[in-house]
Amino acid sequence: MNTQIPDNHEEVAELLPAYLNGRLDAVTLSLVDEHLASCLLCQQELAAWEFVWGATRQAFAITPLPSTQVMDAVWARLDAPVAQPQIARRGSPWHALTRLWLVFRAQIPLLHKSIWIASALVCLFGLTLTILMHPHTAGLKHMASSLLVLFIVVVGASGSAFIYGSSIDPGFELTLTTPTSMRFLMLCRMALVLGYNFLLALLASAVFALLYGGSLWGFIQLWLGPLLFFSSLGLAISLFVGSTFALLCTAIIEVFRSFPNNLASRLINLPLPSLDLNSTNPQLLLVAFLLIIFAVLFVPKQPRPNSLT
Amino acid sequence: MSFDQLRYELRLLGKPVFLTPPLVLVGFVLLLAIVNRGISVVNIARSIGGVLEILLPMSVGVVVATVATHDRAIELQLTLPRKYHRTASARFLFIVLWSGIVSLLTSLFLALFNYWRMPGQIVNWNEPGKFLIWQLTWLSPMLWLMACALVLSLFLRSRMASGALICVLSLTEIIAHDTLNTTPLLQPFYLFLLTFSPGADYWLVNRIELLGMAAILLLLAWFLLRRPELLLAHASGEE
Repeated sequence: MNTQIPDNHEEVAELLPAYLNGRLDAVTLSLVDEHLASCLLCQQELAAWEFVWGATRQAFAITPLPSTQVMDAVWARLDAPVAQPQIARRGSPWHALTRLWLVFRAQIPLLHKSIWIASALVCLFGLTLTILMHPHTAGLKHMASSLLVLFIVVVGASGSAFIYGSSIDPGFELTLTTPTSMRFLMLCRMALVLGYNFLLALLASAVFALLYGGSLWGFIQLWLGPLLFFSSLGLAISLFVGSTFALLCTAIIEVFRSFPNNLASRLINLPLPSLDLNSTNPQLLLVAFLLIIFAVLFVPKQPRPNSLT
Repeated sequence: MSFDQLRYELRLLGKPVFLTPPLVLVGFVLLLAIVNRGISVVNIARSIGGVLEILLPMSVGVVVATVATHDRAIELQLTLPRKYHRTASARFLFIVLWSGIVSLLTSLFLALFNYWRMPGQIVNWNEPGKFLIWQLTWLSPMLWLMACALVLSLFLRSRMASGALICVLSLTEIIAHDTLNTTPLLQPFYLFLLTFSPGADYWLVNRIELLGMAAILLLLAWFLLRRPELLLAHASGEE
């Protein structure tokens, strides 16, 4: 360090850190030495700097330094050429598929855990109940299968009623701020829950068919249509009036379904409304499809959290 | 609980609690009238007894199951000097009372026009006695399902699961009513006795047994509600 020759102690004081670090050239160093020998203030200033310097050295001494190998590895990674990510062209099928997969995967943790656990538990409960009935006669088998179908359908309806909405989703406002369409998100969630319930129902049907005989496809036909219909109905009503009402409405319709078959001659001989939802038929599938269309169209008009208060 | 607090709690409970009992009742009557156009008023009125015994208790059960543990301000509630189990109990009491008032008024209408079905056991009782005891037709299943919903909701910590279970429980009772009627071990759990087996000679015992079970379940729910860690476990919006 080459500086002008100090002529007063203020200038010398400014050079003291460099003096202490040994960064002054020989001429300046000798002049500072001369000044220090005669100036008491600068000697005190130097002593203060020496104290700071010593404390700093001590602090560094007790701090473990990373090994040279670690540092080398860090430098190597920093210097390594960055691999350009494969970005699919926007609008290409690969881009659409990747996006679909990402949105699907992101919905799994957003759906409540209880949907997965409760659906499996209720299905298991239904299967256990049918097994406990020991359906050895044709009549008992029919009753047991009706009971299992009932459990499957209620599980589907209740699962769909609790997948979307401001009262369900704790991060609903955040969901609304994302560029992804609300309709797309709702459909992804619906597909996930419906797919899961379908697998559960398939498993329960397989166990039932294995234990008591009968065609698996025949059993699937008993619940496939009602499952799709009640799931889409649960979703549509939940968007419209809330999850509790949705669950209640589907349960009441289920009660109506059960009334004509089981107590037509018992309940005051009353001609109750006959809702033929007992098997899969094209009309039922069409109504289920229309309900999903309604839900998709209605989602953007659903009341926002700030308008609910 | 002051009037202001009651009003506040009612606002928090929202429309499902207020509207469910009248909607279920009116909806059922309208559906019958629309679908079966030739149906007589007498038949509609008599079928309302079935609604009081089956649909209203089931609705109360589902509503309690879905609102029991769902409070957006549960963490704040637990910090207040007023114990949360008292607040929650007041809410459940209101739900049952409101449905009870609707049921009582409807049964009064049925009694005035003599449209009701009478259990065989109390046919020969005097009129006031018959009217009072008949109320057990809806009161016993309502309290039983409500208590069951509360315990399920507190145990499972999921309104979706507890609501679905209350639905399937009620529907199982409807489908398996013959089994429940003919199996002595299951008779105490037979909820919808008057609708399906009006001539049963154990109607009164069944009603009292249901009330007893409901009392035990409510006691259990009371203790579960007093455990804040159980309530906080699903405060993050877990359904």
